[in-house]
Amino acid sequence: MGYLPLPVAGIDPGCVNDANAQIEGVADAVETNMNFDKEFDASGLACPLPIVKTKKSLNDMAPGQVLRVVATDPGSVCDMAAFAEQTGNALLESGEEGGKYVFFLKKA
Amino acid sequence: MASKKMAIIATKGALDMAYPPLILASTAAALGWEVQIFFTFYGLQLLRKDLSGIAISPLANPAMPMPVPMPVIVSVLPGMQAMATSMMKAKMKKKGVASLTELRDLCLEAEVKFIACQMTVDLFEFEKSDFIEGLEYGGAATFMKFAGETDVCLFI
Repeated sequence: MGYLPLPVAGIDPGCVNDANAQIEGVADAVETNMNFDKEFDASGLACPLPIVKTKKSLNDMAPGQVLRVVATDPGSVCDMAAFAEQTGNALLESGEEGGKYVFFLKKA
Repeated sequence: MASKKMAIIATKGALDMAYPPLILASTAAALGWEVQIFFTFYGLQLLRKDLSGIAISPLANPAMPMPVPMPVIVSVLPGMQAMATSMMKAKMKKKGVASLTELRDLCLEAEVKFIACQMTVDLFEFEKSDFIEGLEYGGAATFMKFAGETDVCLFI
């Protein structure tokens, strides 16, 4: 089993303001082994670094390319959804793997 | 779509109060916002080249979690501020919290505009050479010009 969509994994991130964005992101999470063009490991980093450095990682990517982000900060679950919603970079999938949070962002 | 804008007035120079302006500014910039920070009074300390002197004190700070209950009379003792500061910094590092210098660099890299309040620079007799490069210097009217166009405006 690959990435569990968050509701299935029993995690309610309880995001304020953007619960819809989170659900939409998860609703697309059918693929479990998504291809990606680049990976950013934010493990061990605390707010705001996972978001700020995700943005930096996206900077040199081409539109349509997919960035895989791994994070350990529980706050990044809601923050990544909020980031995606505000920047237009689609959160294709988010889930949990081996105690870490995994996100797939498609660059706008 | 025109980007959103945020203006922050940073007035504090203690370790805990130094973080919010830099966290919010770097995050907003990552979201594509145009951001300016106006540094005034003790906030000017955040513009120094070397931020290692930024400290936190348990004095008059009853909400600060301490490993053991700390009577005020103990917090007054010499060395307590240095101890509290080094403990806080060690904890931050352990938890993956960015250093102030790193956050500030991320802000500058993301083109957050830093404005030093000319009046307080003069008041505290700072030299421009005390500060990092790339600052603008201005007064309240300079700040209000941008602040009037913003979506979010914060006083910290």
